[in-house]
Amino acid sequence: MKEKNIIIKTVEGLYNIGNGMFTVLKHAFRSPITSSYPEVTPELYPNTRHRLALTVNPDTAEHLCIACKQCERICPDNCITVIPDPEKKGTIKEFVLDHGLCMFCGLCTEVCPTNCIINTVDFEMSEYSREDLIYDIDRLTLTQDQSRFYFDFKQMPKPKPKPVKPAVVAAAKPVEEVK
Amino acid sequence: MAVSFLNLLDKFRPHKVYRPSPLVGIFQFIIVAAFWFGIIYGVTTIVTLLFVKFIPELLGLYNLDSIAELVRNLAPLMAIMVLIPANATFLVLNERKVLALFTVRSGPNRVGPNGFLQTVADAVKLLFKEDITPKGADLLLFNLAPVIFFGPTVISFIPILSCATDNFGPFALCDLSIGILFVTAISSIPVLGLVLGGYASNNKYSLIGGLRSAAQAISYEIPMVLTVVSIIVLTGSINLREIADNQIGGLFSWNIFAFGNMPLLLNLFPLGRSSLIGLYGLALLGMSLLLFFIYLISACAEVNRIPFDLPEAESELVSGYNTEFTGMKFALFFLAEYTALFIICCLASIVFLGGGHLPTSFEVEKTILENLAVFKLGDISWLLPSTVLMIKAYGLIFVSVWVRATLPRLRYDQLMKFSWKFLIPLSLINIFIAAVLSSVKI
Repeated sequence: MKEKNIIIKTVEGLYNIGNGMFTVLKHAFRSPITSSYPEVTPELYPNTRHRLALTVNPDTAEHLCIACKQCERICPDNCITVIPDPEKKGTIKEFVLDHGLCMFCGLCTEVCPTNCIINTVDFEMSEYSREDLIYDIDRLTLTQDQSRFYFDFKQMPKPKPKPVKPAVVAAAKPVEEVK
Repeated sequence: MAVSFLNLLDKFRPHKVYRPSPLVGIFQFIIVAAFWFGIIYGVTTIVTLLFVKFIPELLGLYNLDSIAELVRNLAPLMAIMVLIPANATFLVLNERKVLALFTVRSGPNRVGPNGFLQTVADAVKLLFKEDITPKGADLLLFNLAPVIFFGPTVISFIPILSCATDNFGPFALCDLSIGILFVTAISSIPVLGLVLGGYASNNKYSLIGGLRSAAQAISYEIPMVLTVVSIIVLTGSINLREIADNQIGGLFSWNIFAFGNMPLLLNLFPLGRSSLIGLYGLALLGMSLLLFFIYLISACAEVNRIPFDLPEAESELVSGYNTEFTGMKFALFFLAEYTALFIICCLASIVFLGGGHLPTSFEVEKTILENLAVFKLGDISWLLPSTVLMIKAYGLIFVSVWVRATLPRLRYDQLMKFSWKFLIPLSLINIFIAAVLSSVKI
């Protein structure tokens, strides 16, 4: 009885090992999943969360930030500092973002009312010192072309040009649409 | 979209997806392998020629004929000393590349074209590393262990060399009459080096690794040697070159196919009086296949290949016996390990797969050999058997890497149980059956 058992087990083991080895052999004829990174950049999806950036209006090149400070408030790591322009309400003077603290949760991009702060698909952001990871508004702001690319890539609604007198236009607009 | 802004602040970059054809990796690997074979053959040939021809001629000018004769006889040893490092360098690269193919990666492809020089760079790095001796280590044994591990591996290559060159010139010296016993005897010494290395380096992981390797080597040497005994009984020779020469004459005279008795199977088909002879052939066929697989399994365990790599189990024992070794000593361990793999694969291809003989009829082989013998620059008839043997050995090495890519490591008790309760009884029974089969006269 026991000898029979051993023979059955041996045959089963041989069959299973052969099966597994055949499966492995099939994998040798697949194209490699990994890519040689510096030569071949990976294909990233629109909602991958990498370096943060500020967009401008693709048509008029206005800065989209309205200094509402919602991103600063929601940031779990307190890595965003928004300094509004004291003279002109609704515009921004300085925007400091410490990428050394950032954990790329993307909460700021979700909360932003004007789609100004976005996660780009750029992940090559190594620097020689920690201070270099603190980005000011010049390094954060994208050019017009880049903003246009990201508005298309992420399929965000195109921003409307900033109204000159916000209160009046806001009241007038719905009336126009009704007509 | 043709252009994306991945690295958006300074440069534009094409947004392309590179999907190489599945066969590109295999093709690149074959090219790398071909170039490495060229290097191995070139270097070994140059050194051998130096010792067979050029240095003796130079000494002959000064009437130092006795020394010239001595130098000429040293040629096989020098050939081994050059062949082993060059070969092990490619073996490591081969293993990494084939493993990359199996695990659907690109593999090492940075140093040189397609990673051609990867292991050369590794070797240079190891040579320049600091040689650290751990605190409390047994200095003498610690320094001796790599030598004990490496030395016998070199020596056990000698009979294989005579088989590979078909007794060409001074290589006739390597033709030992007890070839197969010599190889099995010598290749059991390196385990001592592992145990000593584990004991001497004053590290608990190394010690456990060394002890495990001792237990494993003892357990798996027995089925291996018992298998060799069955082979000796069935082939009737212990000279490696004779065993290889008995298999001349095509694929079906190889030992793996019923020890050259494949035609006996033809008696089986019209069932009748002669079907008993056919059954005899069938028994021989099953026997030879069984012996081949037992040999491969126990040889794999003997040189600590991956399903049996308990002495250096990375996930349990850092790196086992070679944890504390650095630089050149670690390189020696590495070199010897891969050379041991090459030796068992060579031995298997000599004993079972026809050695240096082509799987064609002898007439074809003879014409090729005669054409090579009258080559412009001299007699190069050694090229055919050595190349054939090399290709067969590398085929078996491919299988061993394939097994490595498939099977996980055994548990320790499974390892012991498999040897003592399965392989050893089976190979003992095999000896009995082999004796019965070889005593039958037809």
